[in-house]
Amino acid sequence: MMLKRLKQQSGTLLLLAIGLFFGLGALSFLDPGTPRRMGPGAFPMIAGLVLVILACIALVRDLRQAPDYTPADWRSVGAVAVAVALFALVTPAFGVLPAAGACALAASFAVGRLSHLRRAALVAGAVAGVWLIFIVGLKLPLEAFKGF
Amino acid sequence: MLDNLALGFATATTLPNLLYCFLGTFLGTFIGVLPGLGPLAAVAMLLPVSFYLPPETALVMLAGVYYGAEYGGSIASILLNIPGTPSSSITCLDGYPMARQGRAGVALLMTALASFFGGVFGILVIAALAPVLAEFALLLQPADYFAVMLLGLVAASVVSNSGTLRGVMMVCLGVLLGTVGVDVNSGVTRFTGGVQDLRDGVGLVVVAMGLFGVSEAMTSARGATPSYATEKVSWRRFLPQADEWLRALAPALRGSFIGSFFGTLPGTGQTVASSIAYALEKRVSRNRAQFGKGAIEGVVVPESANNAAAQTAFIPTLTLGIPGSTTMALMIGALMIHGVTPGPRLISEHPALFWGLIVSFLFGNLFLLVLNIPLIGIWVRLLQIPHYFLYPAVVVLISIGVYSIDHSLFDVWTMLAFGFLGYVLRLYRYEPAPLLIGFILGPMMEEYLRRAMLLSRGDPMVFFERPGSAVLIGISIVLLILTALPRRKQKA
Repeated sequence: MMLKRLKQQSGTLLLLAIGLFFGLGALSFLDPGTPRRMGPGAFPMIAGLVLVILACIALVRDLRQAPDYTPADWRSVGAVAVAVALFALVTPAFGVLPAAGACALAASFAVGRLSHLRRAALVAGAVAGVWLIFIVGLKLPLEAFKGF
Repeated sequence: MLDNLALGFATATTLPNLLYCFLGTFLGTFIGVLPGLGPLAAVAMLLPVSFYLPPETALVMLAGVYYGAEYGGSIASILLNIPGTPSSSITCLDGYPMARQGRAGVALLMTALASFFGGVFGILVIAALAPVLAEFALLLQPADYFAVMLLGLVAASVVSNSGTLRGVMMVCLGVLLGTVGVDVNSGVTRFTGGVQDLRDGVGLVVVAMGLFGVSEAMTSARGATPSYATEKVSWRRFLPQADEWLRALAPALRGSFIGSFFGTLPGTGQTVASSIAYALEKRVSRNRAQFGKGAIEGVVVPESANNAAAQTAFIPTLTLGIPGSTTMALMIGALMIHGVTPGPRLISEHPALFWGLIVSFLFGNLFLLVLNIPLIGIWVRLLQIPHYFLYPAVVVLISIGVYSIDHSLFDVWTMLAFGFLGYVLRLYRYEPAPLLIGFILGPMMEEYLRRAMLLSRGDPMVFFERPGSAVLIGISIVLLILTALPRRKQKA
């Protein structure tokens, strides 16, 4: 029961952790300075403290009345994440166009069922679109192909 | 004044500027019509393109993209009841009922006209007010700047749909993320974990595309393609009835006025402008019984307010250097890349840029009118692009867009991380919009806070002794209390 309640609060707990990270980080590693000459640590310390206090208020308030949250859709999240990651991995090795194709292919798994023909059309369209817009149209200095 | 406008006309009517203004409004409308993509995404996607243009042309194009996308959002609202941008969600209230009564043509025409009316009204306000405000802004001290930004942050968090507490938390998170990188005052690196790529901090476009682009794709990719509800629209009935013309005039004027006012406040922007204008019109209109059931005033008011605010949002951006909204922050980024620092001196130092931009707004609004009345059929068809093509294409576009800014793969990975963050926050009803405002205003606020404290020799009372900052801080506190308290009473 308690565990389930905490799970519903994960978002707030995440914010609490971020607030603590910045607040404590500023406190222990950065110079707060004096009120007249505020150091690099003063501002993040204040902002971190405010976030921590507000996160605690939100936790207490939401424990009494559970907040509604949406369960994650891991398939879409995974597919989009893999798509962006593939773009970052393929670009340095093979160039932008193959990366765009890989990215479109992976992202197409985020949208649910798709026939092979449509998937192929999507990938081809994405590669052609990137080529037309970014390389032919805008003439950005991008490496279209590499290592071929 | 006339000399300035003449200079503006000379700048705006050069062929490349007209061309890019047209291109910008066209592409902006194109992206704005697509569900889920608003002006922020449109400007961020086209930002890298503008780096290769001269500063005036770049800004003219981006401005075109910006209000084009605003307008495109209303098309989706009226035809599908899906607001392309949050600010056009108000237009759904009466626009969609009108479309279902077979009066989509009338609604779209009135939207175009009301937007044009509001836009021109906003332009006149800028031309009249901005130079005066810029001179006044020279008198402002760091404490006043700090107070303006504080009000902006409070306004942004109060406005968010997820409640004041959550809004303020998001703002704080944004402010904290903004501190990553080298501290300009002391040269100390903060929170980089020794990563060299983080020394300059995280790029605004990277954060924006991660929080809005990537996490939006993660959230909406699986949604069904919206069904087009108004297939049997009779396009012959484009023109409203004679009495409706007259009925629309006063609301358009009221909407423009309210929109112009709220557009100038940093952090509020068009969503607030159009919702307040609609709420007010509902009280004063003689036709109030019909509101929500397809009243023509219900389309005219939010649209004129929306577009007036879209224009006047340039006032704080150009005269104070304080972005009124996230999209405006991207505009400031674009200016800085071209070596133009927005602030009180911008108008006197770069008159051609400022007045050229103002006059180009006029042309841009004219282009919008021209684009929308004959091309409405194209936009309608665009709405029917299936989701399974749209979202993968968006993912490719934002990946390559972020990469092309600096040719940095680190940026792409960072964007992905922000995508995850945005997604998780959305699951728990934390809206990412205030985060971005905090991220933008945070570093500027810190700068002015430290300067103000230095000038006052460490006395924090400086913020309450100067009338300007005292009033602004007072308003911020009242806003916070007013919006935070009733919620708690309701819950208890």
